[in-house]
Amino acid sequence: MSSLLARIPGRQRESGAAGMRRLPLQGQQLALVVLIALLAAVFTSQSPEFLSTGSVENLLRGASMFGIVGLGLTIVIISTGSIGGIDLSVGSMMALGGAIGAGLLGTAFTAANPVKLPAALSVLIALVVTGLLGALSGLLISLLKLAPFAVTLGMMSVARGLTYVMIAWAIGSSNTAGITFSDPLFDWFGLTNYGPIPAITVLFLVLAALIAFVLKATAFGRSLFVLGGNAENARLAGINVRRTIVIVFAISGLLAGLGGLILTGRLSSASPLAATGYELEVIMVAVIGGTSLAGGRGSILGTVLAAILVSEINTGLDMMNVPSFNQYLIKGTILVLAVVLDKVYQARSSRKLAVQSA
Amino acid sequence: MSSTAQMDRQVVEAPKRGLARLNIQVENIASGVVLVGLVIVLSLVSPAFLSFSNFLDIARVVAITGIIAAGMTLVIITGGIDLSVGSTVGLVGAVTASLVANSASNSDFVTAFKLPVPLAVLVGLAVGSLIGFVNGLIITKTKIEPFMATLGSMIFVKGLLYLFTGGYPVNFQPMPDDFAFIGQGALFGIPTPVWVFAVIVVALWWISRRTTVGRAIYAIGGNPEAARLSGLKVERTKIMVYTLLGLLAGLAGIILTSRLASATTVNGTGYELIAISGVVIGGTSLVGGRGSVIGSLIGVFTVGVIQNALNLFGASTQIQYVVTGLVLLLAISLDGIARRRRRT
Amino acid sequence: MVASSTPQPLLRMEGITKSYGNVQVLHGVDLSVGRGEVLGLLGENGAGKSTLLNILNGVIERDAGSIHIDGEPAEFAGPKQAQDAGLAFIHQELSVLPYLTVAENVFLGRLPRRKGAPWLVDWAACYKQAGEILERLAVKIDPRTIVGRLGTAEQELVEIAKALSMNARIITMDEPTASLTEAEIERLFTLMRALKADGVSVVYVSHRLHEVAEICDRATILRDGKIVSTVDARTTSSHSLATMMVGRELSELFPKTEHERGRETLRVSGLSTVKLNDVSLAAHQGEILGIAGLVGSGRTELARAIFGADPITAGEIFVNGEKVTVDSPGAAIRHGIGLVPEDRKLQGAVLSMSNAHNISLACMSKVSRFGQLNRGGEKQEAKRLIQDLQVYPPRAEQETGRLSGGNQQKVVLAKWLFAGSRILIVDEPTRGVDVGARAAIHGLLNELAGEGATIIMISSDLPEVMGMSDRILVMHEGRIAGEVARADFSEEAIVMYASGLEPTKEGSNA
Repeated sequence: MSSLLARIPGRQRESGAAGMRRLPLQGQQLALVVLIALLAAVFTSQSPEFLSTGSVENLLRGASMFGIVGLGLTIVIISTGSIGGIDLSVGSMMALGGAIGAGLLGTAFTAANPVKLPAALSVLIALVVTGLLGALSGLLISLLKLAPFAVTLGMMSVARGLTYVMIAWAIGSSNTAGITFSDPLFDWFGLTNYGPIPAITVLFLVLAALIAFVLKATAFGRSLFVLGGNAENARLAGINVRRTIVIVFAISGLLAGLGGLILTGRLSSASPLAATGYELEVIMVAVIGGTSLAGGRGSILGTVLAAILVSEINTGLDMMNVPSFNQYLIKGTILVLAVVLDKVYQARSSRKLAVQSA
Repeated sequence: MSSTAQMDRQVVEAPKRGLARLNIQVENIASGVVLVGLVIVLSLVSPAFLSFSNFLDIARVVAITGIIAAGMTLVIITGGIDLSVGSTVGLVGAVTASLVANSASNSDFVTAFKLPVPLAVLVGLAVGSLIGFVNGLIITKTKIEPFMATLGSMIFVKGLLYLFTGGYPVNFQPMPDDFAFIGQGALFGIPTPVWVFAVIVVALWWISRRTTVGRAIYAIGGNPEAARLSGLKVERTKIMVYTLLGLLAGLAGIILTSRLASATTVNGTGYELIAISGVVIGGTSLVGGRGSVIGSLIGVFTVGVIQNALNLFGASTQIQYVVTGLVLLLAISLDGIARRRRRT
Repeated sequence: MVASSTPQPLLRMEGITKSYGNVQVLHGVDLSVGRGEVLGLLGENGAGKSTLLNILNGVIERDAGSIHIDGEPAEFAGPKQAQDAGLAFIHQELSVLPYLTVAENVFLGRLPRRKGAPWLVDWAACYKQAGEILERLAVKIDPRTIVGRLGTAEQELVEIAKALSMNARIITMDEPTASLTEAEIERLFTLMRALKADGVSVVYVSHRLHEVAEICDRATILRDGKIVSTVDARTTSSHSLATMMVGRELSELFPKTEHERGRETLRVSGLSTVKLNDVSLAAHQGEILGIAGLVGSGRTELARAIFGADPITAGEIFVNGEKVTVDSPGAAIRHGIGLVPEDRKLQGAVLSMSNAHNISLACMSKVSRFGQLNRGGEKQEAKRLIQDLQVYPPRAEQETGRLSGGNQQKVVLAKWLFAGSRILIVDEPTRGVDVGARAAIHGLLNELAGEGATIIMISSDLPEVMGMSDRILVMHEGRIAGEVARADFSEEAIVMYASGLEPTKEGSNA
């Protein structure tokens, strides 16, 4: 048998390359690190206070906020990429999470709402609601086999509307003013530092580690890769496809809600227009992090690094006084480029597979 | 060969045939019935609803998103989508407004250069077409999913809008009559936008149902590879369809600007949702290959009537967001259910 | 003919019946497999093999009949239950996940769990157990290898390892050798013999009759949904197996009409693409030129290259003696070339459109002026072709997706008749088509050739390609490996060329 194996040309060489196998992903992550360093150098040369404590802290807060939401989207894309899995509702879900969390608070300055809850409870309710709305998206997608972008586009509108409704209810007026408040728990989200590290960065890293662990070491985590690789395979392997899709979209909604609470904590206010367009940043985080839009492939380390990169771009452009709307141009371009690169990579790897199977 | 025919005859049961033929139209009929039912119920509930002026109001509002929806129908039939139309509405509105006499804004770009109204409109339409053309180019050449590519361009064009206007609205002091006619005028008692909408619906219906290009659009959406292997120019047709939609979104932007007498950065925001909802309610499948411009006409009127009713009942704009989203979710769910039924 | 070779077969299927709508595809099929036996399952395309295998593996439900495994009645609610009962199904299209490791693919959905923490994957055990299974197969693959990096043959071994990891006792292999090289096939057979020795049974489906003789103990032949016979695979000649499969002598089945071979219509010289290497051929008026070869040998790629569907890197194409540039399907159509592609549903017909619209699709200029369609004329033309080709139901407005496979194929053929193609390339024209429509399509191709058209026919079905063609070109690894004239047609010659070997002179048995 072994002599037969040796007779097939090329096989030994390939098996021998086992050690090199993980290089492409590592290469991508290395590239992200280099890019982060390079941009830091560029921004510092333009404006030296880029490396100041305040600026780095700001960068880390942004990275943590987008990163936490990006973790959810990463899971969604890994597990449902093969059916076009995406969650466009994350920006609105962030706004909604923030609005519910702040709107139910007893300490809201302008609150007219009759219900005033302890902070922990209102945060919990915010997470439950956004999680449930995410689950509803997942249910529609899996039950009726609908395109995820279309379902989450609708959900984006619903969540934004609910944000308006929530805030109007909380402040007893339908003008588009926000809820302002003061609360220790939200201060923890938005202001607290442990040494030089923002509290939410610790939260982000803990969540990232937890999700990385779940993806790598648990049966549920592995089933996400199987589902993302090929839904039919997943069914044959006894994976409950419908339940899994519902769970990942629920997680995405929940983490978006958490990201919205962080945003609200940073701003000490919840506005109906909060997080508008943030889905762009979050998709950038996932795609730049090496999660393939085709599904079945992705890494949490990549998402963490990409979150830092995206937040670095935001911070740097702000410091260079690039108007926020011009940043749209830059980000729109980066998004399309990242997606094109993903396509190129997919085409290359599928060609490689095709050549091998020929 | 006669035995052949006999054998094959077993395969397709005869009774199904009549139903099968109806099936395509059932979706159109269904959306029509929903619309008529909605109108009847609302007329009974609110006397204010059933008046000629209210219907004109609805038509005027629907015309703008309807023009987009008509173009969106063709894009969706090819199996694509365009999320950037809302941003295009805003940008083209601002560009055109800035070129029209008497327009003013705090932005430096805007006051610099003026053109006669017809030329200003042409420039605006050219900008819209260019955006659509680039969308089509990116989608066909890079093979990125259309929703992703146009999500990128949605943001990008929004950026261009801010860059161009500096975030300030473009207003008129006062608006020239010929420009005002586009959005506020009327012919024979019917508002201009409604005429424009009617012409576009007829034109796009004719293109889609009576021309070789239209046939190609359906074939590409139904089976791109079979279309290509039948000698159809798949990429060119797709680019054409996206360009047409860009042009129509631009036209909608011009009409909106004229109607509001102002071009702001929020003009057109969310229009992609309304247009897509209208198209899908009208029975056009997001999967591609099936649908009709007439269906979309019914669809956008359904959305328009719902919005109108919400206004009549004094619902806040906030609720309307929720309703728009729910209507879209409902529409695509019905599409999903219809697809399931077809499969079985 | 021999009956069951073991007193208590491991698998016994009795009276299996299945209908789709009004069409009965299986008529009370009986089949048995002994412990450690390799049973060949033979039959033409459309004979009911895949339906039978899908029923066996719980993919679809049977209408009637029983399945016994080890004497116990078996009822499967789905493929998962069939797996649990010791059945494994290795499809022709491999279903491994390319981004995951070998070990994870082997234990897909059943990864070993940690003791005391069953939600955690025990990776050490996973790699160890996968390694043990691979070792049992004498396969030297590191279980940590990413599967996408392996060749097809090795990916297939991963599938087999997966089957063994489930303790499969009965493995169904559907054309496992379709894309393997000779050496890889040999390796697979060695492995199968090892499985036999372990008491694992295999149901082996292949169109390559010489392989059946080499690896199978018995062969069951299925035709038109009925078992024709079960024979000793080692002692039955390929010729008689083929005859049993088609049910008649080939000469009866394919009433080849002889035509005058006219002038040369198509010449291809030095054609190369990513998958083709310096291919040259000529085809003539009134000729049916067969193209045989294994799946993946470049047949479809040749058809697509001539048709302008794939870019060519070198070579020239002449139509009616004139050099032409075919850089797109549109250009090919203008030069009178048509292509009936291999996958009807994915490439041939637009299923959501009506028959009339499908028929006019490749030549809409014929029924339009300045881009406006003459729908009356279109419908009339379509009706005429629908009648000529006996498409059922004979309605121009009927949505093509609602037709049976054979009728859909007729619509695709009608499209090229409408476009006036004089050089028609048909790629697997009767795959998945019922027997009646098959005969009709063959009749039509003969008729077209009789009228002076040039037909290039690609088929995996050797009896078909031999029955229909005037001449056969055999492809191997992107080249034309050999040409066989009608007088010298033999399965062996074609198979030898297709495997990259020279046929022996005396081996002909046609």
